[in-house]
Amino acid sequence: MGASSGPRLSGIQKQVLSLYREFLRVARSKSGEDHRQIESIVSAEFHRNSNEIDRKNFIYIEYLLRRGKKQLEQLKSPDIVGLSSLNVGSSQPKKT
Amino acid sequence: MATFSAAAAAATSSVTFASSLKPSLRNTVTSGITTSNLKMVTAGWTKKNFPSLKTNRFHVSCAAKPETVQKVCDIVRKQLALAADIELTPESKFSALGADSLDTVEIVMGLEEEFDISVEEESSQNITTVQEAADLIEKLVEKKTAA
Amino acid sequence: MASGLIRRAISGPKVAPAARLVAMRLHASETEAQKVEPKVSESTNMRKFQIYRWNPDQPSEKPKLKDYEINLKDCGPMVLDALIKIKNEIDPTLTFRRSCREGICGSCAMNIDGCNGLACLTKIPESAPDTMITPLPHMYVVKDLVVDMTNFYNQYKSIEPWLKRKSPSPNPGKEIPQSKKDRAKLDGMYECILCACCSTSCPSYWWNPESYLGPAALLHANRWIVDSRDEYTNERLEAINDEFKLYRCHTILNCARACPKGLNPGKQIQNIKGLQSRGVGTNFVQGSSRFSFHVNTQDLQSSQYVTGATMTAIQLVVTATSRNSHLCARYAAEKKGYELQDKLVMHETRNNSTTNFLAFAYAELMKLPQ
Repeated sequence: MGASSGPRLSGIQKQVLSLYREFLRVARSKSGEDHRQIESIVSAEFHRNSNEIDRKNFIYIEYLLRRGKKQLEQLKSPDIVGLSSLNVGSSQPKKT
Repeated sequence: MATFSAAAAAATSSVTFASSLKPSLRNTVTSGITTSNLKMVTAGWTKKNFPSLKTNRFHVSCAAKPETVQKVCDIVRKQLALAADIELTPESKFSALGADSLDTVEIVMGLEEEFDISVEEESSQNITTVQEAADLIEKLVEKKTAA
Repeated sequence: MASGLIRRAISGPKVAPAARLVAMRLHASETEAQKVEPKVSESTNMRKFQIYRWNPDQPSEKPKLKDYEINLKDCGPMVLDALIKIKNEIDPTLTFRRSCREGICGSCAMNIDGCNGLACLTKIPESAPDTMITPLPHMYVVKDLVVDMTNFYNQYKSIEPWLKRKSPSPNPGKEIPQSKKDRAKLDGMYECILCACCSTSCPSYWWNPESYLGPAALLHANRWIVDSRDEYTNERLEAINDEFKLYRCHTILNCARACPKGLNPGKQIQNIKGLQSRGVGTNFVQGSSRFSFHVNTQDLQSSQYVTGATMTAIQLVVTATSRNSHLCARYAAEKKGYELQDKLVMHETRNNSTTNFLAFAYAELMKLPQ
């Protein structure tokens, strides 16, 4: 994502920012410790994607937006208290 | 669900009704309107009193209180994890301090929490400096206390 | 192991027909059965499959059609068997949904050689040299052949596909009685497995996926409208009586062609449309509030059609934006014994503004002596 904080954001950038805002708002509505944890995970994910993904790769960005919206819907439910993520690396299978 | 869609449909149907009648109105009434407009314009030009609005507008932009600006600076410093020796003036831009648009959103959310206000989407996109943020906060706080 | 059982059953002196049926079913679904066969056919029947691939974990790569070649002699007859064989032997990263392998769950819906269908029910075409397999058209792709069905399911949820009653059941604690004739009305609709083959084959659904409900949801809507035990029929009809929800259907009838269970959603949609227009006329005459017409009196006065009309008590509320509204206004007028000028009727419906027509029609009604 381009670091243009002036008022010249493209439509897809605006969508990403509004999704980020929604996530932060939902995180606020959860209780203290959960709030910080959710915020840190969401913030880390968005920052990582913004650095790694090419701005022009609309297919992937739209895919991530859809995935994010679904996760947001799940998070909004009052039963959900936290997020966690784990990285599954593509490692070679161990030969036993 | 049925009644809601009914009301919505009624609203939309009445709108289309009005718009479809416009052509008929225009044919009969346009000439009358233009002549009356002309009359109003000529009357206006004779008076040479122009109420001065310019000074009022300048006053609005400088209305942020210094403690608000200070609080905003603290929040920005904390969010962007700036070192203590980097100076923070009301005119410093967020992008100059190394913040991208995601950080700007975070800053705005932090300000929302601190001042207990809620910022609209469009207004938050226009915030680029500390001063603008403080002004927006002032406006929203005023509106909230007035309501 | 299964093949051993088969041979014993067939070679015995008395072969029970049930055993033979069991043997045939096992043979079709077990790919190992073919491998154990000692008699190998002289030539292998190689067939190429072009399969749509896209991996969200490698975001820089664009979607593409990848070629896989398999030996049809070693594979079951259905496309799902071929996909499983490719996944097992050639490319384990191939991703697709599947569950029952018998055409009842609807998970494996995909586009095979241009036609939507279930992979477990579609035979591998014998004639063509290669087969193209792509995900359901005009749906967002999650990975390879897996598509995002949330919009489809939300539309199904929006028609409220459960029994709704106003009065309690006649035998409390027991089932609500339904005659055989009423139960027969549900045939052709209850069998729907929500595979989405029909909706994703409808061009109207491609162009308006968020606003048009699609043949599957409308088929289910009709299933609940026609159910004799359900008492919210009028409300259900009113809920979908919308320019976009129902009337985007232009009887293209791709849905009937695509349905893997042989259902006809187009016919059910026509049934709903028929109910909408018929139901309106009768309710208007009976004075119930299902379709009432309200016209803004101010606009009426400035309309060029309504110069001489009397503006007393125009208390009809327009709730319908459907094209059938003009039919019901006409029906109402004729019921009252009036005649509407045909040429003016034509003018209004060409403009496609039903409210305008209704204003005019009602004004005409007011002009005539009661």
